[in-house]
Amino acid sequence: MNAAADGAVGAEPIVGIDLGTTNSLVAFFGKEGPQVVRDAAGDPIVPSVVSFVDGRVVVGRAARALAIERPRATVWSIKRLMGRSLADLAPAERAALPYEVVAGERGLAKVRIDGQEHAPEELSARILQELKRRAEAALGRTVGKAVITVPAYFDDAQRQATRLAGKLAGLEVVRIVNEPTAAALAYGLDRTKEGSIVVYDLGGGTFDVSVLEIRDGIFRVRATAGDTQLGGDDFDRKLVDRLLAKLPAGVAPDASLLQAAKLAAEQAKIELSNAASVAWGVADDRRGLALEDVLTRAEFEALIAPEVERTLACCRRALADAELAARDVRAVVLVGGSTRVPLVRARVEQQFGRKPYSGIDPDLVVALGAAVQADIVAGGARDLLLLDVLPLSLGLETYGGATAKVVMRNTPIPAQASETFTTHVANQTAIDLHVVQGERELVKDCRSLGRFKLRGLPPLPAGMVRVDVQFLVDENGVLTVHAKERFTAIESSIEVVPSYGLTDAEVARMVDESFRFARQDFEAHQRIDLENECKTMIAATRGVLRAGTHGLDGAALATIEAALADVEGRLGRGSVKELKGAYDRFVEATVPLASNVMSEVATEAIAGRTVDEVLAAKSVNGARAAVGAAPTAVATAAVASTTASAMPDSTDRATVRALVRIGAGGALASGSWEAGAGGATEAKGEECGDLGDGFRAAPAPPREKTMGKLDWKDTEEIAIRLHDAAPNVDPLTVRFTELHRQICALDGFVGDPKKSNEKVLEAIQMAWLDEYQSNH
Amino acid sequence: MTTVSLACSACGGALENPQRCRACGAFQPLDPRRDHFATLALRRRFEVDEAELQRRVVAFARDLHPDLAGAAPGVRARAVLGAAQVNEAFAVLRDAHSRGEYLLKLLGGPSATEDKSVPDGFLEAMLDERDAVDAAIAAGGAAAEAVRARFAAELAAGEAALASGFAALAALPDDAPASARDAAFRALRRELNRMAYYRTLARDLREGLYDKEST
Repeated sequence: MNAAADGAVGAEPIVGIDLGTTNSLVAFFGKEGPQVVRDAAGDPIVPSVVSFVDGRVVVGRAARALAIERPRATVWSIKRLMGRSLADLAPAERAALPYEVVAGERGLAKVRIDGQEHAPEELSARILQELKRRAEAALGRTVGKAVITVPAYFDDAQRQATRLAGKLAGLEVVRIVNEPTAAALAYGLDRTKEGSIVVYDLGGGTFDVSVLEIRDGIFRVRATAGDTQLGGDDFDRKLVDRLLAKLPAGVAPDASLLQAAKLAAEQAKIELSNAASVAWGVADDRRGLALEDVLTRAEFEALIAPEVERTLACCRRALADAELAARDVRAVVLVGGSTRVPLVRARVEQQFGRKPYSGIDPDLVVALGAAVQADIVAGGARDLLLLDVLPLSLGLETYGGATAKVVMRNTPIPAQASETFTTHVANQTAIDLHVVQGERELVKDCRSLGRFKLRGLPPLPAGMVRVDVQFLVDENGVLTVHAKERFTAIESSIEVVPSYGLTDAEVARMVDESFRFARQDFEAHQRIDLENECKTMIAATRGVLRAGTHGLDGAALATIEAALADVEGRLGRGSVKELKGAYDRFVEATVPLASNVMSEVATEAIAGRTVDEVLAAKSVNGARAAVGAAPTAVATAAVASTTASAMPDSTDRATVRALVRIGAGGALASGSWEAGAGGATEAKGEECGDLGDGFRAAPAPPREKTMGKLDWKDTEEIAIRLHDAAPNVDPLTVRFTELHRQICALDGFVGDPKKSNEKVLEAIQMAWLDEYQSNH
Repeated sequence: MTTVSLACSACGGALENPQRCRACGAFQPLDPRRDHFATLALRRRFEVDEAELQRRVVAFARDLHPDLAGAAPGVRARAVLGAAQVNEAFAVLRDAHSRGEYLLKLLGGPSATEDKSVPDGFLEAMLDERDAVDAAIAAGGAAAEAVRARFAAELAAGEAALASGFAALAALPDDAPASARDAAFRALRRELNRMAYYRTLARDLREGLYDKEST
C-alpha cells in the first residue's frame, strides 16, 4: 500500500503522537482512516528509553537492550519527571529510577548521566525525534506539526513541558489531548455509539479512568479519576520482589541485576497471559548468582490483586461522579498494554457486567485517537467536538480556614458559577479573596492559586455586606474570578491558571485524600463553623446583659451565665457533638432574654423613640443574636448544618432585619477593620500587584437616574411610593411575598417580577421601614 | 410546546439557540435577565423532558464552544460566556430538586433559609433513616441496595409532588387571594425541604460505602 500518498492528504501533515511512560507511538490520518507508523520489521512501538553510549544517544529498542549493561546511563520512564520538581517525587518513586536524578533550576528534576545534566524535556525530545523520523520515512515528506496526548491528570506545568519537548524535537504541538479522550476518538469514528462509555487505561506506570458521553458527534467527558502511581510496572515489581527474596543472605542486588530482573519479570508477566505457569529467573555470571522461580498464573493473580482492586475502586468513583450506575454504561474500552493481563479483563468485565471492548490493539488506540484529533485540527472532520471537565474543584477560603467550593470537580468547561459571601467582622472595609483548588475541606490541605482584595466596602455590621463572587473557567481551564459588592458596585477581579504548579501526583493525591479524609475534614469544618457561631453568640449575649437585666430574675440570669460558661469552656476542646449540645442549651437558656429584648424594642419604638436610639442603648448585635437564638425546628442530628438561627416566624425575621440594618450607622460605628473572608490573612498594602495584569479595582459605576419608571434597584424611591400606596401594611412585619406583590403593583414599576430576590427585597424593606419611622 | 420562539437580532430568522443564530451565525446580545430556562429556550415550568434537555445542551454547545465558534478575540470571549451559561443552566435544570429550588426562587417563593418547615413527624423519621444509612453501610450488598432504592423512590415521589405543586400554583387565577399563593409556595417549600434530607441521606450512603471499600 502507498502510505506516502495516503499521508499527502491536505497541505501539511499533522501526526498524532502517544508519548507514553513505557512506550511511544506515532500515527497519521490517511485515506482509510487513522493508522500507526511501523518500522521495517512491522513494529509500531518505540520503547520510551534513551541511553547514552560514549556521547552517542540511542533511543528505543536499542536503548532498552543497553539497559542491563549500562543501567546508570539508560533513562526509563522520563515522563514521570516532566514538569516536576525533585520535591514532588515520592521517595519510593525516586528509588525506582536506576539513574541519578538531581535538582536543576527552580528545583526542577534533571537526570545526570556521566556528569552531564539533561532536562526531562530534552530526553523526551529524543524520543519525539525518533517518532518524527519514522513518520517522515513513512510519509515521504517533512513533518512539522503534531498532536500529543497526555494523561487526563497532567497539570499545566506538565503540559507545558510536553509542548517544550515537541519544540525541541522540531515539532509544533498544535494540540494537547487527554489520552482517554483520544482512545474514545479512535473508537468513535468507527462506530458512532450513543451513550456513556468508560475508558479504562492501565499503562506501564499510570492508571486513568474516564467516563465519556457520546451524543451527536460530541464527546463529553463526564468524569475522570485515576492513580499516577499504579500500572503494569507495579506488577513487574511484585515479581522482582518475589525473585530477589531468593537472594542469599547478605547479598544486595546491584543496578544491573535489578534491570535484568525487571526485564525478566516483564517477560514472565506477558507469558502468563497465555500460559498457566512460567519458569523464569536471572543469572549474574560475574558474581556467580542464579535466581530461578516457577510462577503459576494463580500465584501471579494473587500478587497483583490488590492493585487491580484499586483500579476498580477508581472506576466506581468515576461512575459515582458521573452519576451513573455500572449498568448504564454502554461500552467499556480497554487501553494500555497492562489490560492484556487476564485478571484485569475478568475483573473489569465483572465490575461493569459486560465484555470490555478491545477491538483496537490497546497499545495503539491512543496514538490512533491522536491522529483522529490531528485530522480534526487540520480541518478534515470538523463535525466532532470534545467537551472536557475540570479536574479539581475551585473555591474560596472562608473565615477560619475552611474552603467554600464554588465550581465542583468534573464540571463541564467552559463553566461559570457564583456565590455570595459576607463579612465576618463589623465595619470591615476590605475582603481578602483567596482562591484555592482541591477537594479537601480545609484551605491548608488545598492548593493556593492566588489572592486578591476587594477594598472600599461600606462599613456595615458583620453579615450585612453582600459580595457576589463569580468564577468563569474557559475551555483551556483558565479561571477568572470576579468579585462585586452588591450595594456599592465596588469590584475587582483576577485571572489564574488553575493547574499551574500542580503536579499530577499532587492532583491525584489531593483527590484521593479528599475521599480518605472526608469524614475528618467534615468534622473540622463543622467545628470551625460552630465555634464561630458560639463566639458570636457569647459576645452578643454579654453585650445585651451589660446594658441591663431586661427584666430577668436572678435565676434566669444565672442559667444563662452557666450555659454561657459551659460553651466557653468547650471551645477548642472536646467533641463537636458535645459543643453542639452545650450550644443548644445556651440558645435555649437565652430564649426569655430574647423575647424581653424584642418587646422592649417594640414598646420603645412605639413610645416615640427611634429604633436607632433604642439600639444605641442596647447593642445591635446583642439584640440580633438574642432574637436569632430562638429555638429552631430543624436542628437535629440528621442535618449537616450547624446553623441554629432559624426564625420562628415572619415577625421575628422582619424585626431582626430591621435591627441589624438600622444599627449600621449608629451603635457600631468604630474603627475600620482589615480582615476578611479569609480572616486569617494580614493586610499588606497593595500586594495584589504581583498577581499580574488581571488585577484591577474599578470605580463604582454611576447609578442610573430614575425618570419616573421604577426598577428593582430604585430602593429609596420604591420605599417612598410603598409608604403612600400601602399605608395599612406594616413594613416591620410584611412578608416578602406580599412585599413583592405590593412593589409590582406600584404605578410606574417596570421591573421584571422574576428578577427580585431576597436581598433586593430586604433592602427595600429596610428603606420602607426608614420611611415609615420618619413619618410616625 | 415547551419551547420559546425567538427571532435573530441580525437576520430576523427563527432562533433555536437564544444566544446564537444558526442561520447567519450572529451572536445575540447578552441579556442579563435571561434565566436558566430562557438560556435553554424553555418555558418556565417544572416539567422538562430530560432527553430534550440533553439534546439542546449538546446542540447549543456546538453553536457556542470556542473550538468551533472561531478564534477572534471578541467572538471567543462571547462564546466562552455563552457556553458556560449553557453548562450552568443544564447543571441546575437537569436535577429535579435543584430545578424546583430554582423555579420557586424565580416565582418569588420562600428560600430554604426563610422557611425550614417539614411535614409533621418528619424529623423523628429522619433520625431512624440516619440509623438505616449506618446499618446499610455496615451491611453492604443487597441490604444497602434496598436502602438506596428506597431513597431513590422517595426522591421520585418528591419530584412528582413538585410537579403537581407547581401545576397547582400555575393554575391559580391572577386574582387569587394572597393566602392561596402563599399556601402553594409553602407546600412546595416543604416538599423541597423534605427532598433535601433524602438527597443528603443518599449521598452519605454512597460515600459511606465508597469509604468502606477503599479502606
